[in-house]
Amino acid sequence: MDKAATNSIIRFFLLWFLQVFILKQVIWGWDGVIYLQIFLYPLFILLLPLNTPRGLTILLAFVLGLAIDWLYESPGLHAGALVFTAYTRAFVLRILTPREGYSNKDHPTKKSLGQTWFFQYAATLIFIHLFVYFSLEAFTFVYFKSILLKVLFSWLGSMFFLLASIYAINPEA
Amino acid sequence: MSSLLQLFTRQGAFFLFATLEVVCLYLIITYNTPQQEVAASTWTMYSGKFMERASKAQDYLKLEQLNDQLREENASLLAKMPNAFYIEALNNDTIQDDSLRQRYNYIAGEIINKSPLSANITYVVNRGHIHGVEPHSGVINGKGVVGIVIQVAQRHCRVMSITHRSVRISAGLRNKDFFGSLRWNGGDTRKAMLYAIPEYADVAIGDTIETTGYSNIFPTGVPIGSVSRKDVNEGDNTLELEIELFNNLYQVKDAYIVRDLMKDDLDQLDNPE
Repeated sequence: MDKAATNSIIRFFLLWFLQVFILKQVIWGWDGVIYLQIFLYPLFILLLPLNTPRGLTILLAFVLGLAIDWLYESPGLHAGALVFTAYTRAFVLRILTPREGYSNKDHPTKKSLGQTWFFQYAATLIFIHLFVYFSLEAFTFVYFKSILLKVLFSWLGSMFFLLASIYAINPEA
Repeated sequence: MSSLLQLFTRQGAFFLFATLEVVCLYLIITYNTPQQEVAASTWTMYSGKFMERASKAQDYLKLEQLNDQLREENASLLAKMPNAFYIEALNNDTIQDDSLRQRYNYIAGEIINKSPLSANITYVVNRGHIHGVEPHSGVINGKGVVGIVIQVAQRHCRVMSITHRSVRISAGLRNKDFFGSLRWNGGDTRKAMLYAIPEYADVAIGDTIETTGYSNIFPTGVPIGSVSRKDVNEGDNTLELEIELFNNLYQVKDAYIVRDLMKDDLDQLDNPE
């Protein structure tokens, strides 16, 4: 088993633990509505090796999502959003392809593909994830403004935590 | 089949994604109360809209039935109007003469309905069974032949005009002893055809055609029309005469139904035992 696979397995449990036991407490809002939540677990999907089969990515997203849902007591909600994120990852990667293309050694990390690339990559996918998540949570677009506000606040918070963790650990694979 | 498998392998990620999303949506709706409520109310809203449309469409399908119902209602309301009452009084003109025995009796009536402008005109006359009208009676008016009774109800009868495809009338030339069969072949309702007149008959354009009385429907000598064209039918050496009818069949109003008092007598001859 190569390093990337081992890292991913460790990340799976670590991010799950972090999310459901610590980041779940970090919430902020007003008038009884929670506008800010921190979602760090999509980082697992983000950092999966580039050559991971698409089907496996989606399947892993489903499993992690359900694991998160288990303790968030919202069956299907995180899983649905994360499966969507995992499916769109391939498109985002294609759009963000560097000029010379991806090489075999590349990993979707800051270290491998650069700071700007990683920021764009993470920002896009986290936005997609949050948008899908809050849409599924509301389950209607009647309160579209409220959804957008939640996405905005949570995006700022999540991106802060995500970039902070990336800069702190700076994973290679 | 193989192309289907190929599609699955190529698009496997998409199918997996779609399947898992459906599973997630199912889980969300089944186990999360707020989403369940939203889904339920949305469902009710759209199904309500749909049902409304469906019932509207059904109403359209029921229009015919509804129209019938309204027509019936109209009829029952109209039946209560003063002009809806039927006058039972009847005028029969009968000539009393010792040396003459009455053969034909006329029942005066009025055409109260006409079939729409089309071929095969029929009329409804306000005289029926209780007045002595019988099927296959002739109908005439002041100008000439109108038609033949085909159906008789209690107080009304239906008359097919002479411009009806199933009419055959024995007709002949006035003051000449030739006779043939009058028919209408469709087309112009002002014209009919007279067949089976021998070729040597001295027929001139403008000659009057009248009933012969041989068919026991009309009395002898009721005018029908005048000859407007003369053609020779080469096959059997007979003449084909185009007759311009005296009656304008769209404008007839009065109808006198011919009642043959000797019909039974004649019928005995037609059906020898």
